[in-house]
Amino acid sequence: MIELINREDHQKLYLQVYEIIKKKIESGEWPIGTQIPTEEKLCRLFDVSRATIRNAIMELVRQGYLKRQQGKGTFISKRVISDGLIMLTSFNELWFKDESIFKLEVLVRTVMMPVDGIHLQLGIPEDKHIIYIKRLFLAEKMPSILIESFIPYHICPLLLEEDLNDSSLFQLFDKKFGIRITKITNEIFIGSLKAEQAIPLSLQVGSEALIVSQKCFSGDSVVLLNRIYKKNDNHVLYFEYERKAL
Amino acid sequence: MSESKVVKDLMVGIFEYPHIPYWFTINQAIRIVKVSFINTKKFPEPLAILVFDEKYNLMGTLTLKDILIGLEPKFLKSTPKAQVPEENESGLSIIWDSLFTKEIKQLAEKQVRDIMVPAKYFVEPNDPITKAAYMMLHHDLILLPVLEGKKKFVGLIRMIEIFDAISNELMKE
Repeated sequence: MIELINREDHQKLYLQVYEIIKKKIESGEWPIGTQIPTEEKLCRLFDVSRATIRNAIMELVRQGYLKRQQGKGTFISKRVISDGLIMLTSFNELWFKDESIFKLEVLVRTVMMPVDGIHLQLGIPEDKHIIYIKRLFLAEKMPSILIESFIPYHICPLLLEEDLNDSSLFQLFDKKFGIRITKITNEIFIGSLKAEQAIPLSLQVGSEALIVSQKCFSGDSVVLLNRIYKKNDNHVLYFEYERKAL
Repeated sequence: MSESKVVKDLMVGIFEYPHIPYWFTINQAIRIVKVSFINTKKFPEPLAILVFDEKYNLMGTLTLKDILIGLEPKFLKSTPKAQVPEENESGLSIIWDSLFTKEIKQLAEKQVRDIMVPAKYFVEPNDPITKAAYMMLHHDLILLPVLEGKKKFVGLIRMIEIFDAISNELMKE
């Protein structure tokens, strides 16, 4: 019996198909080594377009659940990713041990054109509008972390109408707009701050800070690019990993 | 003039035009003009950029002319008292050539809020187009923002659509 997708759900169709197939693989209903039905059969099973099935399969291949064999078909694969480290820290933009000490201030929420290569990071044409959000986290009334967020406007046009003081962008994407973040990459380095970052952090222009360039994906698309500037203060970013028992 | 024609019948979407915040530099605005209009060969009438504040409120507009005025060296700008014959004015512009590598680069770092035309006049979606036409003609505007409930920026009304509507009425028998 195949689980049906919910067309009332805000979540994208291909992500729903992805979740259903993933469940079948994880539960063993579709055992390792077996061939999955053809795209045509899956289209009929889920009553969705071929493009939706292709996107779901691509994501399952990328996540290691499926393996394509040239000329033979697509097979359930032994997922090697689960042998690695599992991140235990909450799946969010920032990682705090104690979130309660931070107070959030939204400094900017507007729409603009991408500059300084932002379009390349987001994988969009340079003449497409983006949403720009700038938030400051204060700890004990002192600025500690600044986040600049860049979102392709077409991904979430209603985002600007939301109260950004109460929810994280991740929560809004997931719960309100049905955009599931499936992968995050972080590049962490020390860099010097320009005026637009230094001033809100009460630092001199050119001061050094920890910078995290964070790309958030939904499937293959970058839906959110964060630039996180962490001042050198008493507060730390916290990561916890655990090796999953094999 | 048809009485039923109102602003919302003629307005265009705000995403027809590039958006920038007021703190962008002239340099960044030039890059956006190139990317959005020149490279894509899209030439809407008028060519303009919309300038917003931190809360996505429209602050003003920026045309190619405004950008060029922003790059004009100070001593070439006319003053109300200047009584310079035309031939001398054109002579001065030759000097501008020699400044391309110096002053212009500094001027291009100015923020666009210093050179934009502030958005002072607005119309509502249900206003008659004659009101929009009157405001554009009497305030020398190229674009007129359309605000819903005097707050929400929902569109733009341009001279070309107003001209088209008026001329259609005129051509009617």
